[in-house]
Amino acid sequence: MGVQRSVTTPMGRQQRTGEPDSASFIVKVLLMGELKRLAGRRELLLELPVGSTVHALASELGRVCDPAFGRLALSKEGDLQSHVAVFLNGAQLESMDGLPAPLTGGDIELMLVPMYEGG
Amino acid sequence: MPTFVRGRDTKEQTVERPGAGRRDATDSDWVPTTCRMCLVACQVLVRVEAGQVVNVIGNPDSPNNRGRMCAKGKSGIMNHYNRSRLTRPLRRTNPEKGIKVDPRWEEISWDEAIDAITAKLRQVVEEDPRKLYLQTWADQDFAAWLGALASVVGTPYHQTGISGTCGKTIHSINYLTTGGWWDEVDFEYCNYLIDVGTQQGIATREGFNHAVPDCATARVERGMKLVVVDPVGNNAAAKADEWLPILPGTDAAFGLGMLHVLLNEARIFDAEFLAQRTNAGYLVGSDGRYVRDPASRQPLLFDLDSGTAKTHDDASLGAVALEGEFEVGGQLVKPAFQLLKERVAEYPPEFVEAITTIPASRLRRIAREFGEAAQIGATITIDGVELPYRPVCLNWCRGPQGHKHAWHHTWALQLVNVVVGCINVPGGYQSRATAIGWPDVSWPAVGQDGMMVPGAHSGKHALAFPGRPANRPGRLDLFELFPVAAHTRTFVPEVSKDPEMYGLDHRIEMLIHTAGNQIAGGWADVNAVVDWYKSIDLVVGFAVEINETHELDDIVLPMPTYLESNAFDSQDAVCGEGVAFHAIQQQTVERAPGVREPIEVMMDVYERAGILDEVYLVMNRVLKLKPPYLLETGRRYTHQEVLDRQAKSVYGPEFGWEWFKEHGILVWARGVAERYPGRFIKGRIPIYMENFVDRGEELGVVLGDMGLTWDLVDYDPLPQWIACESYGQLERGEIDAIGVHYKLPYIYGGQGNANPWIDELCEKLPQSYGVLINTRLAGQKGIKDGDWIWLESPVGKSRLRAHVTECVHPQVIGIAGHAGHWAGGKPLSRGKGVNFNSLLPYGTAHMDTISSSIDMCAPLTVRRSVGGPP
Ligand code: SF4
Repeated sequence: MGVQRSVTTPMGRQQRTGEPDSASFIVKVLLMGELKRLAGRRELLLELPVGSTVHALASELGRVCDPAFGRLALSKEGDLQSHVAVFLNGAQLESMDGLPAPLTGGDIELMLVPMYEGG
Repeated sequence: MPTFVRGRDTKEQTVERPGAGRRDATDSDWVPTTCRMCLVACQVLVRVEAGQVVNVIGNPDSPNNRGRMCAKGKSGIMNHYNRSRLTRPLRRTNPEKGIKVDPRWEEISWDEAIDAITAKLRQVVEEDPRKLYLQTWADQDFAAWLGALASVVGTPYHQTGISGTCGKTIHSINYLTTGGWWDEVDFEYCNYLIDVGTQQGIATREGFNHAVPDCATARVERGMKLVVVDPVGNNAAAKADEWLPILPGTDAAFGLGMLHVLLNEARIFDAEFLAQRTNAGYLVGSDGRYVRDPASRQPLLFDLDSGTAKTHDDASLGAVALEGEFEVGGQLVKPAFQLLKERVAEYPPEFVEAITTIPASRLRRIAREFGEAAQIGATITIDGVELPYRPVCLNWCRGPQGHKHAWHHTWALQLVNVVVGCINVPGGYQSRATAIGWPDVSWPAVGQDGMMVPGAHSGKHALAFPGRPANRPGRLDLFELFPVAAHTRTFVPEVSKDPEMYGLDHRIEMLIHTAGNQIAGGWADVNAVVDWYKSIDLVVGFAVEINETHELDDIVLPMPTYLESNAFDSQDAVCGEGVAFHAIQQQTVERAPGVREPIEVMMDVYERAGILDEVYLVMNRVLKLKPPYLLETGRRYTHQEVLDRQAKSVYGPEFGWEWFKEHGILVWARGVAERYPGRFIKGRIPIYMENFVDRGEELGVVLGDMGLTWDLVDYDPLPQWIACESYGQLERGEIDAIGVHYKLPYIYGGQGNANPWIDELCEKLPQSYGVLINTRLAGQKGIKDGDWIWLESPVGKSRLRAHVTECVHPQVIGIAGHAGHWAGGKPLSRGKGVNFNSLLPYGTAHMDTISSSIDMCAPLTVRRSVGGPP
C-alpha cells in the first residue's frame, strides 16, 4: 500500500525549473483522504502571486484539480468549505474568516477531519 | 499558566481530594478518571484496593459533575467485573450470519487477527478505499486514530455516532444560532424553561450531573417554571409545573404557534437583537433571495433613518426596518422578519391545537408567559460587565429531531429562542464550546453575508450555511444529495441495497467498529441493518462483551472497559461557569489478561499495512502536536507516550501525561465574554435560510438528471409544519397509535440493562421492560394494567406487558430504554422488553430531505394477547 506522490505544477502554466520570480511564491499542497481521491493527486506545487491568501489558493485548486474536488471541497463562490481543515506548516488555520493574512509559502495540507456526530 | 479553581468560584484555591499526589495505581488509592458509562463524561475517583476496583465516586474538583454521579455510572464496576467479558480475539467459523445465528466462534491469536485485518485492508484500499467503512463511538481518542485511516486511504465513511438521530439537526442548528456544538440551559439565571422532547435538567442529557441539581436549585430558590412538552409523561413531565402531551411529529406546529403568539399577538420580540445580530432585517425579493448591492453583492437592509437600503456592513447603517414592505431597485421587498411574521400567522393556536392536540388556550398562555419572562430590554451586570438578561429557554433535543421533517421541527423551536434574544446570554439558551480554549480562546467569526461561522474548537463540520452545491453522488451515504446536511450516514444501509440506482459502483466490503451496538440501536428496522451487515465481507468489532452487533462480526477483538483505558479527551466548560477544564480518562487497574488497547491494535495494523508514517502525519495535525513532541516517522510509540506528547504540546512541558494522571483535571478561569459570548460575537444568526432557495433548486436539477423524484418542499427558508407518514396513518384510522422511544435516567444506549444493578432497577420499575399505554386506548382495546399485548408495525411485531397509565398521550405507545436484547453475550437482558428499532420502518420515505434524520415514529396496531410470557 503506501502513498503515491506526484508533484505537479498547475495546468496551463509553464513548468518552472528555477526559483519563482519575485512577484510570486510556491506552496506545496498535500491533499489528504477523500480530497486526494477526488483531486486525482496527492501533492501539488502551486505558484501564487505575492499577497495571495487561502482564498486565492482555493480558487487555484478549483482551477487545476478535477471538478469532483471542487464539488466537495469548494463553495459556489470558490472558497474552501467549512468541513475542510487547512494546516499551514503543521498548524491548523482557525477559520475561513481568520485567513485574510497573505501566505508566504510553505507546506499546506488540506484534510477532511471527521466531525463528532454525538451519541 | 492555568490556575486551579473550583466550581463557580473564580478565586484560586488548592484542590484537595482523597489520594492527592498519586502517581501509580498502588495497593490502595483513589484514581481520578472520567466515567464512560454514557456520553456525559463525568469526572470520577476510583477506589482501588489490592488491584481491584471497589468503589467509584464523583470527583468534587470537576465543574462537570461537582462530585456527583448517577446510577449508570455506579454500575460501571459491574460492567468491568462482567462474567461475559471477552478476553481473547475470536473468529467466526459459521459463514451464515443472522439474528440469533450462532457464529461458532474460534479463539485466534492477536497476530492472526491483525494479519487477517491487514490483508483485507490492503485489498479494499487497493481496489477502492470507499469499500472501507469505519465506525466509532464516544471515545474521541480512538475516533481520531481510526479516523486517521480514512484520511490516509481516502474512504469517506467514518461514522462517529451510533444512533440514526445523532446530531442531525442539533449540531447544525447550534452552529447556526450559537456558534457552539450543543446546548445547555443557563440554570444560574433562567426563570422559565420549556423542555420539548428532552428531559434537560431532570433526567438524561449532557451535563446531567450538574444540570439536575442546578435545575432543582433554580426551581426551589427562584421559582423557575418548568413546562414539559412531550408525548410521554416521563421523569421530566412528572416533575414539571405543567406537562403538555403532544402528538408526535407536530413539534414544528407547536413552535410556529408560539412564534405567532409572540410576534403577532403579543408583539414580544427583541427588536434590537434581531436587527443587529441576525438577518431579520435583510431584504428579500419575490424570488425568496436577498436583495443585494449590485457592486459588492452584499445583502441589503432598509435604513429607516435615511430611507435608503444599505449593506449589512455599512458603518452608517441606522435603525433597521424589521417589518413592512419597501421599494428597492424597482422591486417590492420585505425584511426577512416580516416574512417570518407572515409565515407564523398561518399557525394561530386554534389551528395548532387541531394538529398537536395541545389546547389553544394553554399554548397562548404559555407563549405569553415565556415572552413576558424574557424581560426584553433588561440587563444584568456580571463581574462589572453589563449583559442582556433573558431568563428564558426553550430547550429541545432528540424528540423533535427524530422525524421525517426534522429540520423544520427543530428550526421552528429554535427560532422561539432567537426572537426573544436569549442566545448565549445570562438566563437563556447556552451552547458549549462557542468560545473556549486555553491558552488561546477560539471564537466564532464573520463569514459569508455577515453570518456567524463557528470557531475552530468546534471542529470542522459541514454547515447548513452556506451549504454545498448538490451533485451526483459518489458515496453510499448520498452526501452530495444533502447540500446542507452535516452528515448523512443514515442512508448507507438503504443505498447499499441497490447502489446502481444512484449510479454507484462500489459496496462496503470491510467494516471496523467500536463497542456500540448498531444492530440493536443504530438506524431503524433491525432486519434492514442486519441485511447490510450480512453483505459485508469482513466485519471487525472491538468488544467488551458480545452484543447483537458483534454476533454478526467476522472477527471480534477484546477491548478494555473505561476503567482500564486512557484518553486525553478535550477542553470543555459548563455553560455560563467561571471556569473551563480539561479532564482525562486513565487506566485505574491492570487490564484483564488478553485485552489490548484498540489504538495500539490499530497501530499494529497500520504498521503491517505500511501506512503508519502517513498516519503519524495526520495525527500530528489532528492531535495538534508541536515540536519537539511530533510523532516521528520510523518510530513506534505506546499510547501513553502519545498522550504525553499531546499534553505537553497543548499545556507545556510541566503538564505532561504524568501530571494529568496525578491530578486528573486541569481547571482554569475564564472571563465574562467566554461565559456569556452572545453579544460579543460579530457574525449574525439566520432567522431566514436564504441559501435553501439555491441549494434546493440545484438539488432539483441533479435529481432530475438522475431520474429521481424527491419532494423538496423542505427546502424552504422559513419553518413550516409538514405531516409525516405515521401522522397521516393515524388521522386516517389505519393505525392505533404512534410508538415513540423515550429515555430513562438509569439506562444509556444498548449497553445498559445487561448490567446486574441496572437490570435490578428495570425489574423493579414497570415501565422499563413494559410499555406505556394510555387508559383511553387501553379501554378501547380491552387491555388492563399488566396484560400482555401485541404491538405490530409494518416491519415487526413484539409481545410485551402493558402499563396502563394517564402518563402518555392517548394516541401514543411509550417504549423506554434500550431493551429487547437477544445476544448470547448479554444473558441478563436477553428476552426482556422490546427492541424499539425492530418496530421502526426504515428507508428514504422515512428520512429528512434536509438533515437525513430518521423518523422515530413507529406506526403501530395494538391488541391484547392471550396468555402469559412467551
Ligand atoms: S451521567 Fe452517569 S453514566 Fe454518564 S458519565 Fe456521568 S456518572 Fe457516568
